[in-house]
Amino acid sequence: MTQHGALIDAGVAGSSPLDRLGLVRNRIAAVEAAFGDPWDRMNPVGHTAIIAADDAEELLAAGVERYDRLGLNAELVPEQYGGKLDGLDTLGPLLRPLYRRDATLAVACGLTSFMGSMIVWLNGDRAQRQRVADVLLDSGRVAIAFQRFEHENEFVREEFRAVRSVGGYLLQGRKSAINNADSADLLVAFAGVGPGSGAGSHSIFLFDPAAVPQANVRRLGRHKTAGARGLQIAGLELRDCPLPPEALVGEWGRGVELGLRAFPLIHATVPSMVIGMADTALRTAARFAQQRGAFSRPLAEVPRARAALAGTFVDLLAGDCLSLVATRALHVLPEECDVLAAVVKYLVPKLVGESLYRLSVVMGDTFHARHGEHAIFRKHLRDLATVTFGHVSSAVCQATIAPYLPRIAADRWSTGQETPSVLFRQDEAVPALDPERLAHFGGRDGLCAYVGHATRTWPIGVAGAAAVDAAGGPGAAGGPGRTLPRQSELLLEELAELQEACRGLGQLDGQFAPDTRAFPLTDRYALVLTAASCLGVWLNTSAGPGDFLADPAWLEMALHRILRRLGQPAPDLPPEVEVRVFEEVLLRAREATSYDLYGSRLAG
Amino acid sequence: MRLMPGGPRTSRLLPRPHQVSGVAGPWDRVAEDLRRYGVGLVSASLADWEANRPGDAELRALLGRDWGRYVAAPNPRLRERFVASRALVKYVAAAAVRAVPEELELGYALTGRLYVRGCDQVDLSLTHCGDLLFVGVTSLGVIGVDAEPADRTLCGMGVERLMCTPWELAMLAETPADQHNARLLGLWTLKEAYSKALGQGLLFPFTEFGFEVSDGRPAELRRADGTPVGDLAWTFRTMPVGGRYLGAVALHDTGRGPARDTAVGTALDQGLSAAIHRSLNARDA
Repeated sequence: MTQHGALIDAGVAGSSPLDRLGLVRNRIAAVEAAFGDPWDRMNPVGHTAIIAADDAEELLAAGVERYDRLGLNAELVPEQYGGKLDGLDTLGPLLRPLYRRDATLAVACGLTSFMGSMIVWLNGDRAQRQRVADVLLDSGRVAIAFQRFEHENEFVREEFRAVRSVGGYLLQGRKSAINNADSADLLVAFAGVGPGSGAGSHSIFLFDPAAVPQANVRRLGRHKTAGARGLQIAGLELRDCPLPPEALVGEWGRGVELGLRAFPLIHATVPSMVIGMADTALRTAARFAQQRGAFSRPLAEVPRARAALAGTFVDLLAGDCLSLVATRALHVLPEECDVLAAVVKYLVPKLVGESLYRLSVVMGDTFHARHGEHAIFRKHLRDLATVTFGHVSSAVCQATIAPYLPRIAADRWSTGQETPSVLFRQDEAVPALDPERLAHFGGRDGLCAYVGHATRTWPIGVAGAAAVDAAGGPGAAGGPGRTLPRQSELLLEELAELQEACRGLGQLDGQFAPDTRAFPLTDRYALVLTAASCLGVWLNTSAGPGDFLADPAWLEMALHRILRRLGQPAPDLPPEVEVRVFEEVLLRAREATSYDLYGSRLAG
Repeated sequence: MRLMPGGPRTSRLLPRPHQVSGVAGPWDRVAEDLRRYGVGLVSASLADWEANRPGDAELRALLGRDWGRYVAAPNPRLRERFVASRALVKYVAAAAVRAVPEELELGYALTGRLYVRGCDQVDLSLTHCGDLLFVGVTSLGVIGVDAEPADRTLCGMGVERLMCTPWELAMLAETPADQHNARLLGLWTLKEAYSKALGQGLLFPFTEFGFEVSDGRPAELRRADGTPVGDLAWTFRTMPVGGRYLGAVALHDTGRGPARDTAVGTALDQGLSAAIHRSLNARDA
């Protein structure tokens, strides 16, 4: 069970014994309370101040100070090194209060250090891990310089090179975009050490950029980005920069493989954080829509607004289900988590981006507001592409998914192994991360089978409602959840088609030849896994009767949207489904609770 | 601190639309425009593409999952237009990602927006009007295109109040009468193109956003009261297309970077894929 630091628990009084979900909600509420009501114009870390900092292309200093005062870096440090990180499934939700307000602040303070430190937690020796922990627990920053990737963006366009030397290593080359390059206390740097990008091509180094001979370091200018404009991104040029032997992380030449271990952790966790940005966008739209005069008719009678608000919320829940399952899989099914994590990173930012555009039909003129109460919407819209790395993310994720597709074709999903229900449960603790198991690429998928499992285990209410609906006749309308069985059948049909298509892909022996046909299949596979995650979360929820998460409305709507994205003939939804979700959107705006699976109490 | 150039440029240059009369293209010019400008624009005549329509077996392979939609189209006219537009889009997409058209799949977002499934390195937009098919493709971010007959009469049809912001109405009132219709047509196509780029079609009410259109310059996005939106990442232009149509393009440069390789064959990082294969094979050994 998690131990809580005083800072995180501040303000949560008299909590009774709670399960893990309750404890996480309290911790989120505490971060929310510490940052205060973002809509309050006088709040020094509220939307008004955040937008002013963004306009000035600066990091919000008061926000950084608040982050450090709360000791939020401890959330990035595993418990065994003195931090509070006890499961990656809760890290995203815990950092959502930052993303709800300012992705720039979240990336500058939290995300960059998270990515850098993960490389070291998984691959470093004990001294290196402790060094990173000490820096982070002292509110320091860890930066990361990735290797070059094909289809590059500015963060992965260049790479350092390294050679062995007497007494250590020499690092050279330039990277013009490293977040926090000038302020980082530690830098995790991938460097080319051999030809190409295969075995023996790269190594990873950990060092303090201020502690190396500064004559060998040239600090390049600041690099500006289209979104998250306050990020302090800058370049470094190293000329035969000497590093001691202890700077090498893991074995020489194994950088690509070692980096791959950390990718699932990064891929699964970052989209979970980003859901916070969409939360604020949806909240802004819901608040605007309820203002007097927003529409010529009452809001509930404006179909396009109702559909956009309900649809966005459901997409966020679907994205959160997928994120939850993938982040829990890191602990529960580490051998199988890499594909699932890549699927999250591939799909969730797209779902979120699409939703934000969709809200334009609600926001109308205020969609373009740069100042005032609703301007935070546009900032989040602008920041999203920058913080999710656009296409590079997609290509890197697809590169992770594609090699598995021929294997997936061989899986026997209908009769395969049971998917452990612990994968879906927010209220249950997870085992500690195991770097060795993470290093084994399983090539199996224990999640898709859940679609078949769901069709055999509907609650009595759903099966009965569907039967009434199927019987037809005048006035025949089943109860809640009546479209679920048909939706699941369609998902199984999709799965069968997907397996058939995967069978025709290139074989695994020898070098992998890119097969164009793999691209659409990665997309389809990602959508089916999202559906499986939603089914799993709903069927295993600990929410009580009457709780929104236990209601089948959100699940029906989520599956409906997934099936339509797959091009499947989704059955029409009963009208009350959208109404139920829409009412929940308005309720959560009024009561300031989060638009995710946690339903956390927000500060505004 | 010195600021490095980076992020999106304002009002990007756009290439001229290339006319293609069938599956033979020429497609290399589209690929070249994409490389140079980050954008490719293609116009085609429906009649040309119908005349060069592939046979049923070939068509079935080309349409893939769209075959069912083709068969279900309610009348022959719509069916032929569907075939021509989907074939064109697939060939444009294939040129953009250097792939075989039959191996790509078109997807439809919930609002009906077309995309190349699983190929996020490009975005595309299709419009048809009369005999014209007009497609835009970009590697920079998102794109929306629209076209209307250049001689279409909007003036005097009572559409102004349905499609213009109060500020645009005031601007129109100051426009000489002989330019009134052309100005209105420009606004209409730009609004369609922008709304399509956002994936919203006609759902984004046209009276909620506007444009300043002036001859020879890129159009500028305005709020309902005329305040410039000032988002430098967007480029809006109108242009003649297909001989007798007015085309409009709305382009969002998300700052992914210039001169990117969009080829699908190199999209999967080889080092990454190879490392995964090594792990999988080692596990199996």
